[in-house]
Amino acid sequence: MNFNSIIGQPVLVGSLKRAVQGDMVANGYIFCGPKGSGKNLVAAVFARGLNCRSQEAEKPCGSCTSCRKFESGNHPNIEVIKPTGASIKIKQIREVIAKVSKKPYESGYKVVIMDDADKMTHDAQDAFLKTLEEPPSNTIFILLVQNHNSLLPTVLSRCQVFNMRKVAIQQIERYLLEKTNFDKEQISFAAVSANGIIGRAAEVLNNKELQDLRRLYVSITTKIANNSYTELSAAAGEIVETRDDAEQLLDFLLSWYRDVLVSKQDCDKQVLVNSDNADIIARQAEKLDENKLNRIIDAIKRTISYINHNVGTKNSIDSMLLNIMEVYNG
Amino acid sequence: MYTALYRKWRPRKFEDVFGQEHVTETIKNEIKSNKISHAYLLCGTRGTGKTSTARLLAKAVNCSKRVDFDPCDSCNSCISINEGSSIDVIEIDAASNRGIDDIRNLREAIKFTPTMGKYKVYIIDEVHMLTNEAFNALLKTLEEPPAYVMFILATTEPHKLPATILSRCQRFDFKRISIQNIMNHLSAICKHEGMEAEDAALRIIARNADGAMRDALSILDQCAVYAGKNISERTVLEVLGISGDQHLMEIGEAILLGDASKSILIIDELSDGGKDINQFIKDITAHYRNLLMIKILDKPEDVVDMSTEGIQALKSCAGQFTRESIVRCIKYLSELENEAKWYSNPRILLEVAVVRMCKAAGDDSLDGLMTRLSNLEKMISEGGAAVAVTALKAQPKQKQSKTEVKAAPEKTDKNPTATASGVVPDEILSKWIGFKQFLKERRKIKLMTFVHTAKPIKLENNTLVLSFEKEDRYSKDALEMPEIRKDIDKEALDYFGADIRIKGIIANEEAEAEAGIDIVKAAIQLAGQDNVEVISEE
Repeated sequence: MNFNSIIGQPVLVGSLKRAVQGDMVANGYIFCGPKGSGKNLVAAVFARGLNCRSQEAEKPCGSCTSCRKFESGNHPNIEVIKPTGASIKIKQIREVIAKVSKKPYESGYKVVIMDDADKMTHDAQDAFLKTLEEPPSNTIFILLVQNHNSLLPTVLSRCQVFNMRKVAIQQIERYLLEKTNFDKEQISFAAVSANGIIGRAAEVLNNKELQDLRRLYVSITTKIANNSYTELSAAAGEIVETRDDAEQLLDFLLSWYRDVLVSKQDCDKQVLVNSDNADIIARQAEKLDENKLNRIIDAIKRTISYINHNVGTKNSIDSMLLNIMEVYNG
Repeated sequence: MYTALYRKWRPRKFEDVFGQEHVTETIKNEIKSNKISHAYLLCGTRGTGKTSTARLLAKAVNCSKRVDFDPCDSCNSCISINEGSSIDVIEIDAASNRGIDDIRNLREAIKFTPTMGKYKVYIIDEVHMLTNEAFNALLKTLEEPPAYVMFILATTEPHKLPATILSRCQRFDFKRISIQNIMNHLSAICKHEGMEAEDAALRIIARNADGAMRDALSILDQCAVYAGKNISERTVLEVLGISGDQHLMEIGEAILLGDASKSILIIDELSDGGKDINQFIKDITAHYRNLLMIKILDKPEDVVDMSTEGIQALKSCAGQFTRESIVRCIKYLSELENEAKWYSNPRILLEVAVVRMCKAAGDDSLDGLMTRLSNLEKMISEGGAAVAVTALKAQPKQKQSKTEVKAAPEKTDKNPTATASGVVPDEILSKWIGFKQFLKERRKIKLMTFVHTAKPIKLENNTLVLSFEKEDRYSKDALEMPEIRKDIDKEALDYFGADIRIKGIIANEEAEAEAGIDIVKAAIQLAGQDNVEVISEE
């Protein structure tokens, strides 16, 4: 595992490599990106690089004692913090502060990786500020977050913030072709549905159910077009069990109707998110004018916010689908 | 060991605290005239120099060899404070030690006189995080500490402090640092660090720092790590993941011209290049703001922070568009900015909004007008409901003046309008609107709510028939309740000047009522004998 195993993040990798080689290490880093975008991988490689003892080879070398300890998962200089329950609380931060005030057990850097750092409570973030700004020497903090809007500006300003970039579809395809044995069609399907997140592409490939799920999603839109509410409701009921299911379905529907909207603007086929279904999209686009599309998209956005506010998922989805169907066929 | 630039370049003299002359000058004068207060409160947004000023002040009051009221940074006291080993200057992280016990400890320790310098200084950083009890425990000490004690409280959120704390301190508010000030400081640091940086690059950094020096230095650090000693505009754009002015100009123009497909292509390009969409939304908003400023101001240079060429380019663009269309775009975008924060895929929201903006901008085109016209036609053909609603909405225009409306009823008394057809005569409608207005003026809000959704059908034999939607049966029934009945009859008498009875019916049953069939009979026919209960009005 080294910096070359990180795909499609030129700025991030370039910066961290230089930081490791030139020993220009800041005290706090924030890696921001959705689930599956490789934050944990980057943090792990960076921590290894910082502690690597190799003189000549590119760090992390993977063969020095430090790297081997990492490999076996028992390097004493690394500390991983995760939310206990729903959030990271002030008590945990106090423990971290107490821990980092002790010297590292081995030479090199003491690395504190905080997973889901956006789950820190407001108080916890405040308690963290002073330590984050001026930690003891050779201590660095890496915060991994999905959405940096939930961190205080005072925390952000103390760290170097790196956003995980979306990886281009072609690049994901190339990578998957190289690393896996799946056939071309499956890979391009995975790359399209990954939405620029490489971890999600791998998940889609390895999980047959996810591929079926996507087909079901597409079938939902055709059922809307066919104006058959009973079928539609049954299909949705099958897919949506939990809140996560609902969120995924909503994400898909938003991207789908966005595609329908875009395909009305005589754009290139390339800009479609669901380019594998371009013909279905074009057919649906014929029946919808922009006014209707706007209403459909508004209905989806509204439902997303309902679900974020803990409204019952099944009912929200049902009523949304009914809404869309009415608009579609009205 | 490497230290982040913002730590390495902490101010060493008061004049290094940029953009806060109103604070530093005052503090220097206090030192000069020996009028040092015992409690200071420093507040302001992040990265404006609160903690730095607190440390400078602590050093300055204890330094034995002050240079022009700045600390010398070379005497024992200064050095030990710099190292954090001084026992006279105690920096407390109030956010992680925020309980009453921490304050009690402080009060215990405060009794001992300083060992080296003149003052014992307590710097309490992030003071807004102290608990309520802790604040109260501090009050007495803060008001009258021993002569050798000085408190410096620092916080980003002064509104969270109790008023009793605020009133005991000398308060200094730190301002956001101007872009020019940040740029000057950055270029000075670059020189010292042996870095070459383009002016345009520094300008982008300063703009994105949002008035905070620490943010600016963090970004500079990040650029230096990524690109080494030479920092160009492109490096900064890449590191920040933002788009250059060129892209903004292009998409800004495309949207205003209503070119949706070009706008989407630009967004596609940006997104594939890994740009941060949320940031991009902010950037386009700022771009339109600049465009607007250039359009309405004679001397936009003062408020638009751009190079002269940039302003020139914007000027030629601004000429093509109306102020209204720019304002409309800003409105859409600022709504979007709020929304997009909470979606996993802001790109789609941006695209949808952009398509909308493109179409909205084309409102005056034949297409836009045609769509709206066809919508209108459809609405009308769907039935009277829509028409009545629109007519009611247009009410302020119809209503001319109070007296005129009042005069209207007399006229109708003479020739009572009675049309058997379903069409509602304008006269009744306008009178009805007048009546509702009358209710409103009389503050009969309760009555208003009952009759608000109703539509007048006809006026006959001194009876005004209102039609209610089926869902609104409650309101109709309410009208039959004795006390409301009494109330509304009185208002009707006052308004119409005649004894007008207001009667409600349900829209669907209207036909039967019209035909003169007894409602009860009709109901029995509809629902069966057992399901109809007749409740007498009295």
